[in-house]
Amino acid sequence: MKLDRRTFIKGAGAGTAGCVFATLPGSLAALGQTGLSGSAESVASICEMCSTRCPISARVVNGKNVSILGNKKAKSFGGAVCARGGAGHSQLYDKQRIVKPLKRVGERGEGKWAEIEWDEAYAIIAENLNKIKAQHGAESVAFSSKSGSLSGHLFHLAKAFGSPNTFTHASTCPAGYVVAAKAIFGGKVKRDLSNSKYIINFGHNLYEGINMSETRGMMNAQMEKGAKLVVFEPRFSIVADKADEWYAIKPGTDVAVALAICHTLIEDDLYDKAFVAQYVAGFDAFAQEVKAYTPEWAESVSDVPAEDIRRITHEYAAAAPHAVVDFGHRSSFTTEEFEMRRALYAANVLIGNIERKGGLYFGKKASKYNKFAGEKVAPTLAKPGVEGMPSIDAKRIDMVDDQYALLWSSGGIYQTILDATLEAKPYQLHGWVMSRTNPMQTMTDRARIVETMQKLDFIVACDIYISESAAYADIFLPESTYLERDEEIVDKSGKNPAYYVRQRVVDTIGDTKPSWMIWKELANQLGQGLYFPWDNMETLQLFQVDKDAALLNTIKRDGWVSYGKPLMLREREMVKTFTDTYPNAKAVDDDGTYASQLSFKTPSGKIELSSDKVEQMAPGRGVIRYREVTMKKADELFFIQGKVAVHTNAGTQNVPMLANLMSDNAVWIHPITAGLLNIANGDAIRIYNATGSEEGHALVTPGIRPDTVFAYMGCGSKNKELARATGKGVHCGNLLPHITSPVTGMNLHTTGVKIAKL
Amino acid sequence: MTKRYVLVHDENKCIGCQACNVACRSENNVPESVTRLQVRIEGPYGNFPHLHFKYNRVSCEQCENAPCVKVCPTGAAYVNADGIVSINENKCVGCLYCVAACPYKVRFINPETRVPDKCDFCKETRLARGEDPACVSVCPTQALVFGDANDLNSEVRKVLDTKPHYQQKVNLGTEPRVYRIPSRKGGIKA
Amino acid sequence: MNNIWGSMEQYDPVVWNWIIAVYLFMAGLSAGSMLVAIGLKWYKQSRGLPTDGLPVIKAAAVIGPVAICLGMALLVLDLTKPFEFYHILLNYNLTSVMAWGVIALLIYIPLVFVFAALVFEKQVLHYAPWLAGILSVCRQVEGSLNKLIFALALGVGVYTGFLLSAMISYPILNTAVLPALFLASALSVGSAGNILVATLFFSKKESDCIEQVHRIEYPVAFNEALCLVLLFVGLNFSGPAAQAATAAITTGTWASVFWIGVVGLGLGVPVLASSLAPKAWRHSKGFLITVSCSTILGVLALRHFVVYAGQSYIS
Repeated sequence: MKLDRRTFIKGAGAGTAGCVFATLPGSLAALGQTGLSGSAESVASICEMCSTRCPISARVVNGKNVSILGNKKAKSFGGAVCARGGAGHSQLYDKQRIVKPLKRVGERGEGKWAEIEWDEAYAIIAENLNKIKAQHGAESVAFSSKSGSLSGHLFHLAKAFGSPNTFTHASTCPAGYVVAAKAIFGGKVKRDLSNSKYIINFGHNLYEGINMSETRGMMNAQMEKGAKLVVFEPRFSIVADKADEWYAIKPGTDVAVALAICHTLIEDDLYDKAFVAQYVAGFDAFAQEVKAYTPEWAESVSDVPAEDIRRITHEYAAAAPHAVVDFGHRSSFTTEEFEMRRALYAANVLIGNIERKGGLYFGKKASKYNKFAGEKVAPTLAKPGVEGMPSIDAKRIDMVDDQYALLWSSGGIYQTILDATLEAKPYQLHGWVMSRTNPMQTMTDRARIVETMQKLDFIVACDIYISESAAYADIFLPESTYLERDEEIVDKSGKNPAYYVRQRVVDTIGDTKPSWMIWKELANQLGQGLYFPWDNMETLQLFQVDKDAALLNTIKRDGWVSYGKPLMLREREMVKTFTDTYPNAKAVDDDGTYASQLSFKTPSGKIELSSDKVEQMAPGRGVIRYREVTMKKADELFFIQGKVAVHTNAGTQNVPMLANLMSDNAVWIHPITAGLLNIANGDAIRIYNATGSEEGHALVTPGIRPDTVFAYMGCGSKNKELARATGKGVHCGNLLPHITSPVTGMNLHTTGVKIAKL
Repeated sequence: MTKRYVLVHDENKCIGCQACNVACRSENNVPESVTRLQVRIEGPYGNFPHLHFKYNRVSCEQCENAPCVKVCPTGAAYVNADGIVSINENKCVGCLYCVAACPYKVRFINPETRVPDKCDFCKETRLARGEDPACVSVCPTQALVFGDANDLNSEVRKVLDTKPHYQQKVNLGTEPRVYRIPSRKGGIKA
Repeated sequence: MNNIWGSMEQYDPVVWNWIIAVYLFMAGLSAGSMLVAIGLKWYKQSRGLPTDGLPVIKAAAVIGPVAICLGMALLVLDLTKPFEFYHILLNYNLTSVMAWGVIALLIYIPLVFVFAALVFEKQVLHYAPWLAGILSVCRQVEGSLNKLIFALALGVGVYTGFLLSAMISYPILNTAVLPALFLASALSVGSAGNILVATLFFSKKESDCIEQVHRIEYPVAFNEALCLVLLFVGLNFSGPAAQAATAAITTGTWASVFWIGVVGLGLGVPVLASSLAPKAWRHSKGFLITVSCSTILGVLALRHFVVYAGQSYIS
């Protein structure tokens, strides 16, 4: 099928400010007319408009329009996608997308680019990186990528090159709950929101920061199963609106309420003693510590009434074990992130909801599931290892303090790139290779990142658009969008094993490449081609399925395959169905469950409410404890941010369809505060502090605490290449100070600001 | 029996995420400058901290007694046998009378065809293929139910029979086929 | 909440703009001038006075066809598909006021031309002698034709009001007073238009017919004022529309248009001029031109006010 690209773009709506960029070197617009053939049928694939990576079904309709819906085969996703997922083709055919490698020809960040061929790009990169390696060592080049489907390929290149310094966006986003889970459970846990009867939520805004299966699950629990939802959040978000009870908690005091819930569970004798006795280590020390954290104390800290905390805790305990305290997602509400996340986990542990319906559970990957079933229910995926990788002696730049040890293997402390570059701590960085990451927006203290990027010898950025960060690169490598890429099979196991795969929907547009190919080809140029022994993506896929082409085809055709019945080890009904299905299944306990099989990868093998390991890493932090933090000056307002349903952090502001929905982030101000500052709705304002100053507009609304202001993050880009986003709204990263939280290594997303009418 | 397609929007389940807005645009190739469907998040109403949003779906109401059809001089606007308010582009001269007369302001001139455009429950695209309208299929929280209200066993009939619902501007006698389940915080208890 | 659902531009309740207002004005002017001219003719005939060559009738014979043609041209140009406007002549949906308007105008427009041709028979035959046969036929049925034109002109005047009042969601428009208001104002602009054109082009000396038409301006203005009062007082007692009605005449640009244009120029100036101006002025050319222009501007303002303010408030 032949498609006229022009009509396509017209249909997909790429007009906004398009003319300004008609001649931006390397953009799709500069490419002129090209033929394009699309798949006639639906192709199952995986979305990449955010990091949730929902299974999608994408097709070319009437030879004209790619529409993207959810893949109905994935039951918990229900065939749904969000606005961002549905707008994937708008990004694909965006005229402002970069489809040719670029070389910087002006100053860094000046926005002057020249188109080059891939060979030249690789040659320049190889020359510069090898020069840095020869002069300063391979470790002086940092490699960073949004954690995702292809970040492994970049990090493999880093290892082949000889640098230990690989970073994901972890410390700007999920590291808090990941590190806390490692400390308590020995690994990540999942939420069974859809079966929960009572959900306590600390600003995990699942109805705006959409995670499809969880969002659906929580709404289903609320509306069809009568679950009660209690939300603690300083802003009246959508999740607050949908809650049965909303408490406008003081920013950064979530830990106090969480600890008071734990206190009430223990002091009012509501906790699951048998569970604690069997599975928990360090309970006594924890119980001793939380004695002081009464609801009355929590009220004085958080503004949440003590009687409500007490009542909610009793209701929560009454619904146990089919109840959950949501441990949240992105945030570093305070520098005490680690204690807060652990306190939230503790409130779950105390009611014994682990591996129970409506509580927390561990993913059941094929190998584990098959072991329980006593037969090969689900195929396992092989991981290609490359032999003879060079050994790396240099320490990571974030290995300056042992307290961060839990993060080193989970993405690292991203912002240490700044310290290493600007202050040579612990040693000097000279180069930065970044892929699909935009620290200018997502890290903190934008000015410091600019300074860093100005100082480095050489910077490579691989992305779809010239992001605010990529604008400072020396070489820009255009990646194919996910709709043009094939990738490895992904394990998406929940209560039972499941796999899915990303595959191309349309032919590649322009001169872009998938990043797995970019890094492989760059490795060849760098002289490390031997560490990339695979020919192409299909080789890797076939390796994963052990050359079982039939299995690979099934996964590709259906896009989503799951195996077996859902299993939660301590849920008797589920275990019975499981053992009835698999005659060779492991023997059950006396109570008909697999409770005795539940184990944890902590030093003690138990859930560690208090942890010696943590105590050694970070003295004083073995036991969960409240510490007062100061996040703003007395005359400042709290500044908090959050997600909006139509954008993914700072990644989608230039996608035409999404830019059309929202391109500005007016700042929420309570009418009382606005009145004192003489600000009316829609007024132009300045929002500023010691870190930076931004101009924007006021949204006067009662949906925010009077001592707090709020903005959706991701707007206000400052580079001119993002024509639809530049200069629109408030740049949050420019207002957040450079602070790293203990243990989790997270940067901080709450600060103080002043507001003035312009 | 003839069909009577209706849509139910549950304002409790709706999170205003605009997935419907985008899916509608893609499936029906709606030009960038106009839209067939928005869900406006209005408010918050009430006094802090007792607040609530209203999730207002704005799209063609598919009135039984459609003012747009009544005022159209040429009969280009008509009600199809399935109850869907439709547009015969060939008969239309573009007098804008329907656009002006629509009490819900959901008709607009499509800049490409130069004739009025609006939600048609995807009848040209998805309904023709036996699929639900795009907004219904894509809705993350299943806030939309679509079906033939004349079919006593349809889900949409069950929903209308069991849940409190309202229509917009009933006082105008338009009898919309888009029903809304009010937010439980909107003052009407379920 | 921030707007995350996109542009609201297309939802502007003001759909019909000044072009429609001017069209409504032109249709009213044409209909009004015909009503006044034919009325005058009947008045003269009833008194056995001659009607040939009356300046006011000549004026109507010019205004009638010219105004309606200009109006129709504007209307067609305002269509989104102006080159396909013939569909409106082929397809009729009889629940639509506009379809009835098309029918009325389809008969009205040719008849107005016939009227004009009969008034200017000499000039017409000079340029198109081949029309002599048709015109003599028309002349024979002139009496019936005039009755028909009068009825159609009434229809056109009223139709422009129903066109707007049929839109149920605009409280200021959706009222039975609107057609009456439009008819009354059509009469005042029709008489003013006739006086203006007659005074400028057809009056060699002071003409009694102009004086006679001038005399009906009083009752016509009274009618118009009465309709306005009824409209707004009625709306004020109608509950939900009350606020809209009050707001329309108290706040914003359109309130100024209402008080200065509609009330001031359209009603105040003519009424005050007629009652307070010294006798000596009353038949002067300047006086007549000023007063009739004032009335015309007032009616133009009224059409704009109704179109814009009417659409601005949606229930």
